[in-house]
Amino acid sequence: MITFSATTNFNARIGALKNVRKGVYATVEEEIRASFKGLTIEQIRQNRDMILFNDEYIVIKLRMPDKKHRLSKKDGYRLIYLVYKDTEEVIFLDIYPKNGPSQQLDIDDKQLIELVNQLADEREKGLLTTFEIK
Amino acid sequence: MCETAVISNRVVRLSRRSYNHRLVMAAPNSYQASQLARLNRELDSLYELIYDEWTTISEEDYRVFGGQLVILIQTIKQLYDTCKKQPRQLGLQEETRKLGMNYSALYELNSDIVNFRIKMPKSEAMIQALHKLSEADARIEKTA
Repeated sequence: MITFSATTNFNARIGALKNVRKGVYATVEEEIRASFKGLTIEQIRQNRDMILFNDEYIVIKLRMPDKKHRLSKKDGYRLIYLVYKDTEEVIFLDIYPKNGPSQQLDIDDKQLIELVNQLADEREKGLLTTFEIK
Repeated sequence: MCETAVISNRVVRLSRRSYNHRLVMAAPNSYQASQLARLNRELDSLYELIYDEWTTISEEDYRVFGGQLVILIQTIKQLYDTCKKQPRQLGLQEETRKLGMNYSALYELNSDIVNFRIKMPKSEAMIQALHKLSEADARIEKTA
């Protein structure tokens, strides 16, 4: 069974997006669930949006649509996640919208390194939380 | 090796076209939304071409078209800023919004190539971060 977890950074980002005025990003969690629901672990691992891999891990910058605003994958959200190669574990590291008041244009290599370092710390301290994909 | 020459030619062609649009904007009354719509379709198509190739783009490939792509992105941004200042009566709002999204998409694609295709494979800091995660996983497995 595939387990989905989230870092404190990811949870904070989701919280901030849901608090943006007029509920602009209110459906962000629904978009995440829709993007993963029914997928096999192989489908989650094999993605053309892969930005990094080694013997143990794959990091993917997933392009997600924003159906509420009729935005395609190209213009919707970006979800950064790490998936293990040997176990059925997926960990959400970061998410941001490509458009709207909280628009972020890109993420650079230094930010990604920081996200992986945070994950290592939080995993060891047991700070990761479960993210339900139903 | 990706389709470097094809990408390069299309980037240069679209840079010229985007720049020409800026010049025409100097006399905006003769400018029509359909012209901007056509440019947006071509930018969309360029995005798809580069996105299809992005996982195979090497540092050598990027050396060929990277500089041209950066100029195109800057030109689109300037055109976008000019379009935003035009009076509403010209009816350019929707195509201007799409141009802004095309700018954002190409900016991201360029940034991904630089950060994740060129810089990341050589990054000692990333190797260390993944090693740190691997060690944490090993310790967790031991105590489980």
